[in-house]
Amino acid sequence: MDILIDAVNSIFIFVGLYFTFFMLLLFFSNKNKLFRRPKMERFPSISIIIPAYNEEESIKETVENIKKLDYPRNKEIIVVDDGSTDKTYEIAKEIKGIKVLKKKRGGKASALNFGIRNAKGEIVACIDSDSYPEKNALLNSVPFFKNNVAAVTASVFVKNAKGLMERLQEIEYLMISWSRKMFEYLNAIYVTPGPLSLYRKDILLKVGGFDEKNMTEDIEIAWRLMKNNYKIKMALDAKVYTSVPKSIKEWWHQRIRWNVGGIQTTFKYFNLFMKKEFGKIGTFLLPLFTISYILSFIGILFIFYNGFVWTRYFLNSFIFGFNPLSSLFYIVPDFFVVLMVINFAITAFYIIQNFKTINYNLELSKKILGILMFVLIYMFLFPFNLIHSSIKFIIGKYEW
Amino acid sequence: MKRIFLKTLALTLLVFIIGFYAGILFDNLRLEETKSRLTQIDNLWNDARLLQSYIQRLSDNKSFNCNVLLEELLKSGDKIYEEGTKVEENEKVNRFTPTIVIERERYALLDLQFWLNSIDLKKTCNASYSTVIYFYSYYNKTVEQGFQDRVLFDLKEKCGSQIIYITFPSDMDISTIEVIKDIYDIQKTPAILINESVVLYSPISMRELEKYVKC
Repeated sequence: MDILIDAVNSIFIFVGLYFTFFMLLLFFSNKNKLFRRPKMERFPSISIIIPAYNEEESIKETVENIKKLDYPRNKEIIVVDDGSTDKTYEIAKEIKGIKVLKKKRGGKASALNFGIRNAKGEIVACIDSDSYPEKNALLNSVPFFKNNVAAVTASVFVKNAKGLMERLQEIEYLMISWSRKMFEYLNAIYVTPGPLSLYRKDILLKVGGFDEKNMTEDIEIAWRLMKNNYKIKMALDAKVYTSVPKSIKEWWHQRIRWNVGGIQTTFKYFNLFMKKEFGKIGTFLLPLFTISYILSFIGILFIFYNGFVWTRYFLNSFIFGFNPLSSLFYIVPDFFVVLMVINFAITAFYIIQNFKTINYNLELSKKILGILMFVLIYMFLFPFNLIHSSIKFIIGKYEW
Repeated sequence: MKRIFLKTLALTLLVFIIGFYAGILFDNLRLEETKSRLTQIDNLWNDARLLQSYIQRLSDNKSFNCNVLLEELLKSGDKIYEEGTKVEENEKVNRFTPTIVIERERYALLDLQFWLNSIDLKKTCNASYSTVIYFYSYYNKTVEQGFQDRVLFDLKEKCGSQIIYITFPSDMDISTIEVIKDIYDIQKTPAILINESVVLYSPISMRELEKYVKC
C-alpha cells in the first residue's frame, strides 16, 4: 500500500509541476504580447443581448451600465425576457433606447438564440444580466475580430467580493482569466463565458447557435466553433464584473451545473479524441479534460483513504489512550517534502505572476490569506463537487 | 506547440530528478547518522557487560552503594532508549536506502544485555522500577503495532526513568530472544512483558498498562 501511495503522490506532484511549468513557459514566451491587439480598420455594427429571467432587481442597473459602454457606432441593446414571473419585462420596457423581447421560458441558451435571431449587428455581445463590463470592454474586444476569429472573450472578475466564498472566487476568477489568455496561444480557449463574450453573428448562426440542451452553452459553443476551425481570442484588458454565489450552497449548485455541462460537452465531442483536423479539441482539450477527470477521481479516492487513515488514527488514540498530536507535525525532509516545497514555491510564483499581469487591486494581506485559503480549503471542494456532478450526470438528474 | 510540451517535460523531469536526488541525499545523511549512532552501541554494550559482572561480584558485598549503580543503570537505559527512538524515526522516513538489519540485531543484543542488568540490579538492590519489554515484529509492521508503539512511547515519556522500556524484534532470529519468548510463552506480537511476570497482548491501552506499572 505504501508503494501505491508513493506512486500516486509522485504522479500528482509530477502533473502539478508539469501544468505549472507549462503555463509559466507559455506566459514567458508571450509576455510582450499579452495586451497587444490588432489595429482597428472598421468598427462593425454591434448588438448586445441580455438574457433575463426574474431579474427585476438588477436589470435596470445592468442595462444602464451597458448603455454607457464606449463604442463609436450605435449599439443595439436587446433584453430577452425568458418568461420571467416577476416584473423584469415591465421594468425593462420602461428603459428608453433598448429593444425588449419576451418569450416563453426556455433557458438561457434559448433566450440568447432568440435574441441573436432578432439582432441586426454583425457582432453580437452576450452579457449576463448580473454582469457589468467596464466602459472600454467593447472597444478592447472588437479589434480581435480578424480573419477566422469567431468569438472574443473578456476577463471576468468578481463584483464587490465581501464574504469568504466571494473572496475565494475572486482569486479563482483572476487565475481563470490569466489561464484563458495562455490557452489562447494554443488556440484552445474552451469557454466563452456568459458575463461577456462577443461573437460574429453570421458564424454563430452558421454553426447553429447555442445548444439549448447543454447545461453550459458557453463551453459547448466554444468547442463547436473550434471543431469548425474557427478561432477564439481573449481580450485581457476587456474587464467585466459579475455577481458570484455568496453561500457554499449556491456555489455548489452552480459548479454542478458547470461540471455537468463540461461532462456533456466532453462526451459530445469525444469522437474527436486525438484527431488533428478539428482545432485543438482532439489533441489538447479532450486529453486535458480526460486526464483532469481521472486525476480528480484518483484524488477523491486518495482524500477518502487519508480520511479513513486519520479517522482510524484518532479513534485509536482514544481506544489505546495515546496522545494523537505528539507526532502530527513531525516533518522530516524526504523526497516528497523536497518536491512539495519546490512545487509550492513554483505555484506561488505562478500565482504572483497572475496578480501582477492582471494588475488587480487586492490588498497584500488579503492576497496572502486568500491564496492560503484557496490552496488549503477551496481547491479540495472541487473533486467532491465533480463526483456529485458525475452522479447527477449518470442518473440524468440535472436542471438549471 | 510540440516544442513547448517537450520543453515543459524536460523542465519537469529536471526538477523531479533534482527533488529525487535531494530526497536520496537526505536519506543517506540520515542513514549515516543512524550508522554512526549504532557504532556507538559497541561501547554501550561493553559498558553494560562490565556493569553486569560488577553487579554480580558486588551482590555478596552488602555494603556497596546501590543508589550510584541504579542511577547509572537508568542513565544508560535512557541513552539506549533515545538512540533507539532516533534510529527508528530515521528508518521509518527513509525510502531509498537499504535497511540496516545487522545494526538492528546488534541494537537488540544491547537491549538484551541491558535488560539482564536491570533484572540483576533490581534483585540485588531491591529497586522499585518497572521493566516493560515490548515484543514487536521488525519485518511485518502492522497498523495495530504502530498504535501500540505510540502507547509505549507515551508511557515512557510520561514515566521517564521510573520504567525501563526495552523493545525486542521477535522475528530477527536472535536465539536469546527466542528463548525468552519460549520461557514467557509469548506466541504472537505485539506483546508486552511487564516486570518479568505479566504478559499482555495487543491492543493494550495506556490505562491498562498503568495498572501494572509504577509511574
